[in-house]
Amino acid sequence: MKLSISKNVHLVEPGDFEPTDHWYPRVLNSNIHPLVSYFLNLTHEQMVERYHRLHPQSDPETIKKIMSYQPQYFRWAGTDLMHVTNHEGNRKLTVIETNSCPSGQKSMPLLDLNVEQGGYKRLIEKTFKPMVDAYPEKGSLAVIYDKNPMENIGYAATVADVFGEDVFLAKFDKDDQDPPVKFDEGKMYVRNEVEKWVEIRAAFRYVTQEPWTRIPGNPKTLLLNPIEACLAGGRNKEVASAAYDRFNEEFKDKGISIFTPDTYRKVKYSELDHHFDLLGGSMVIKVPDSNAGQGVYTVVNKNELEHAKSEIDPNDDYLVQQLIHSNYSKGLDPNKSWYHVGTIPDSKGRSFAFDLRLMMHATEEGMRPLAVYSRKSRFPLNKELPEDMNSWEVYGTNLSVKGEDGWSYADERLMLFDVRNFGQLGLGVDELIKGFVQSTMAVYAIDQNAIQTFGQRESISNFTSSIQKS
Amino acid sequence: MSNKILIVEDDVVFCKLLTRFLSKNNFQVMDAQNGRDALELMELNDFGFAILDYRLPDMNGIDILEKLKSKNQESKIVLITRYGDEDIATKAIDKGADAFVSKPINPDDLLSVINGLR
Repeated sequence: MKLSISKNVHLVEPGDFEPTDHWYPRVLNSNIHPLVSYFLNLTHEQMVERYHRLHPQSDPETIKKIMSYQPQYFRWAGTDLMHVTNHEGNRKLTVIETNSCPSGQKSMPLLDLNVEQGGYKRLIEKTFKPMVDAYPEKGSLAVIYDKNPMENIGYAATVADVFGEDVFLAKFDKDDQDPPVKFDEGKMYVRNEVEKWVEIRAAFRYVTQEPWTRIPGNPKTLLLNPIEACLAGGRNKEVASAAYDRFNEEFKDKGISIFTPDTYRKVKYSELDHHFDLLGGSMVIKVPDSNAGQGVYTVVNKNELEHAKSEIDPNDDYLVQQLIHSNYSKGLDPNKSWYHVGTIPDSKGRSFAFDLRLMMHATEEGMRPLAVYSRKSRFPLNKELPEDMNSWEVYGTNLSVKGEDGWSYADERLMLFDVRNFGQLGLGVDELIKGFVQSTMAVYAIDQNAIQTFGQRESISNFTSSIQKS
Repeated sequence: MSNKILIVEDDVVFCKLLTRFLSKNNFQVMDAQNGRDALELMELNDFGFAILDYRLPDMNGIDILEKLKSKNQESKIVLITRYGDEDIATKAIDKGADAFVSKPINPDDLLSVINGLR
């Protein structure tokens, strides 16, 4: 490794991967739960057949087609799902959002103890490398990022190992006035130790924050994922919601659909009060391109509505969703209301809302699950919320904590899918299969939206169609 | 001489990687991403060594060098400069730096420099 070959650029060399640096300490000492390992090793055929048994109206051939689909733009994704139930006890995994450039490797126990690089290696070996090998462009390899150094150093070290060559690890920060990454006529360059720009043939991209104009569409440098994946819904909840609706319309005769809470798009600031009433006095307000739990407001009373309105821009449009409720109430509409199933009650009787992050990648056989973990809320679902506490404490599952010295994370609320934690979630293999199928449908919907919006991705369409045919 | 070492550099990844490397080589490492935090750490700790980047968001490495030396003359200080910063390196030596190294940094080479200062 060579540190600081230029400002915010390091050169990572083969052999630099250090497991202790790329997983949370708790994860390094964890063992994957056998049910999770079993799930991760299921074939597509097994999952399709099981999903069909769980949803008899679904068409297995269509599910298989979606699972084995080769995305052109969105080949690496992370879906956040919630485990919900209705008045009659029908449980679902509902899609909350789907992210391009998802985090998650650092929270995933090793699937195979003999593969030191775990999911980092599976993603680079089975998704990134085949694309790069089939791509004729010349130049070096890079990892560009704007957060999450723990995982991105790991990715850079894995790319170096898998390709057997040095990799530029470059920070592409939105506030950097003189960033070490530039694009010229679609080709990416990274600044080296003598202030020269080095051509990059392919880059692993973990850039999660606007402005997206920093990265051009249809670049000559191969990107995983390209920016189109973000614009088509991978980093925009509003666009994703429209893509899900189109998917559901297209496949309604096949008995499948993407489950999401009821969603209202392009809601004007002045219409928020109306939606609050329409949804029975509760809702979730989302800034369409919000990220990491920022810009998401759960609202359960007028005070919270006013507070949310005071924090957001009156000139913008918002996404409004029905709230997934904490507890059953007779006053709620039995045909539309959903409730958090929550964690198995602990010894004090407390059950917490949680989400499930499922990271997936496109491989030769189609989409495969790669990493999975959960995050639980701070305050239990089944205890009365103190008057001075915001409902986000009950419903919000994001681990980021903003302190005086910047951001940290609430480790105690991270639920690993290991021997110790997984049982507390009350999930089984069926729920993981349901979650995975929902996630593949969401990825399909967003990728199709990217193709409709930006056209075929010429740079890899031959590659994906050759896999699809084989 | 204390094995406690201070890294002052605004690149978090640099600090992370160098901390890992030096920790494995039996140093007790603390890091700061700006001059203010570095001064706070210096108030509370006695460092045997410091690795200071010249360019920091709120001050430069030579400012910190002077404060560190005035607190403990025995501290060994390595200033990190950039390609083409020879004038700064010369100035740093005049102000009491024990060594300077230019980016890019090979951690093994940096370790040799530090061990040579013991």
